[in-house]
Amino acid sequence: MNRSGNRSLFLPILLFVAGILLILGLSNPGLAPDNPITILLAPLQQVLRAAGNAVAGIFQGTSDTQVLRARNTELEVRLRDLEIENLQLREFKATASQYRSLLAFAVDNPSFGIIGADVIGLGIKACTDARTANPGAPSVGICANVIGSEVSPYARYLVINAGRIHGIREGMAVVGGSFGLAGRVALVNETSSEVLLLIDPASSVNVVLVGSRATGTVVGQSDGSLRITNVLQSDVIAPDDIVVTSGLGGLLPRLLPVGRIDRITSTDAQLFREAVVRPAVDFNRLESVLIITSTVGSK
Amino acid sequence: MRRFLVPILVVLLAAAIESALLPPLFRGAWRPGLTLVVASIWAHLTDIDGAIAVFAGGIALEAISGLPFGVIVFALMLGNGIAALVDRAPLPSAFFRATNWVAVTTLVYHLAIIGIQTLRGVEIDLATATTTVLIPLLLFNPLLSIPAFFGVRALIPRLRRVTRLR
Repeated sequence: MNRSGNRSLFLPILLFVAGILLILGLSNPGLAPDNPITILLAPLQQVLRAAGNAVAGIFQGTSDTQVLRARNTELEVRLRDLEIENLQLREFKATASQYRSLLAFAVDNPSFGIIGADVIGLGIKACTDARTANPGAPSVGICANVIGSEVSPYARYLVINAGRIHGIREGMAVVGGSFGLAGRVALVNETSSEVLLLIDPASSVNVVLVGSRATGTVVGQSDGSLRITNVLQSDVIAPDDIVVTSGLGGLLPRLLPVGRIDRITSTDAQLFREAVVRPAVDFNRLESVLIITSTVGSK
Repeated sequence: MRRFLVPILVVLLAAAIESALLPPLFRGAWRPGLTLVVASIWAHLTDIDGAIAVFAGGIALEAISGLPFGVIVFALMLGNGIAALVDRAPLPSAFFRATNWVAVTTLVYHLAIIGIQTLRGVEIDLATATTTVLIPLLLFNPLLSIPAFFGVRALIPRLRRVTRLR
């Protein structure tokens, strides 16, 4: 055993090396070497995650409660399916209303030559599992299991067991639960990928409120919650209004459910309106996710 | 050679456990820093092999973290470097010094990450981080260091004995 007084300089030397790595990493955000450790750890993580889920399941209750939980899960799935359907119908209604306004504008201004166009890309329907997906559906997804979670409490990432060899690319949207947006792929390794969750403080997604058509940005908070910001004071935010992706910027498909407005936190004196958003996905219980690899109209 | 290889494998295993096994069991804001504890205890009890264990632990955590490359390994090395300085203070027992080492490393590690994230422009609420992450970990990590201390202390002489026999 070593006494502290006669330690070698090895620790400071490695600290110096770590400092250089830090400078390199911060000055070049894209620097994330294809770490062979991830290839080594991925299968181990998969086994340990399954074990962890199994142990957690034991603690969650007896077989009776498990039956109730299964029934509850089934009902939750049905409820979420209905919510999605409801969301689509409300979206169609809102879109039809917009088209009616545009049509009225065209009728009122017959002297104008008018061409209609979408803001960006095509809408994406709620996609089913990739294995049962309708070939004509506007999206193609890859299913993956969550095999690891972020080790730092100041960042919110997941590790999934699908990587470059499965066709995963950086920036792809990741959905979970009832096809609510969970995040997007931030880093792709050979057989695994890291997903930046919506609740990460560095995450920012352009959204639209289905009810009021107000646009804004949903950003993650350091306490793991979601907040919508950049909503104009003239726009309306109402509790329980559904928040979906707007597709602006072209990074994410349109109409992916993000969550619901929980409570409004801004005052009239502020430049923009803000509110807390209740996520559509339970980020603590994500076990499987779907990665949207393409949408009709995307290259 | 084994005295260097074994700690590396142990911290790799600890990182895999921390990333995959613990999240379903600890669903709150904080989670035990198993890799930090094991690597720090190794650094406390040994010299070069301990420093290598800390570095390997940092690299292992980097591999499964979404933070920019270098942040975790630097924070972990810095934490242990400062813990080594504080360790010069006269404390009555090796065991107490080990828990103290882990507590100091935990504090510096988290403050360093918060600092770097803030410099990157990622807003972190310090009050929330302190109450939901730092304080629980400053209590739990030293507790976790108790079994880690006895486990690593029992392992080290065996690894060195094998090296000498060769």
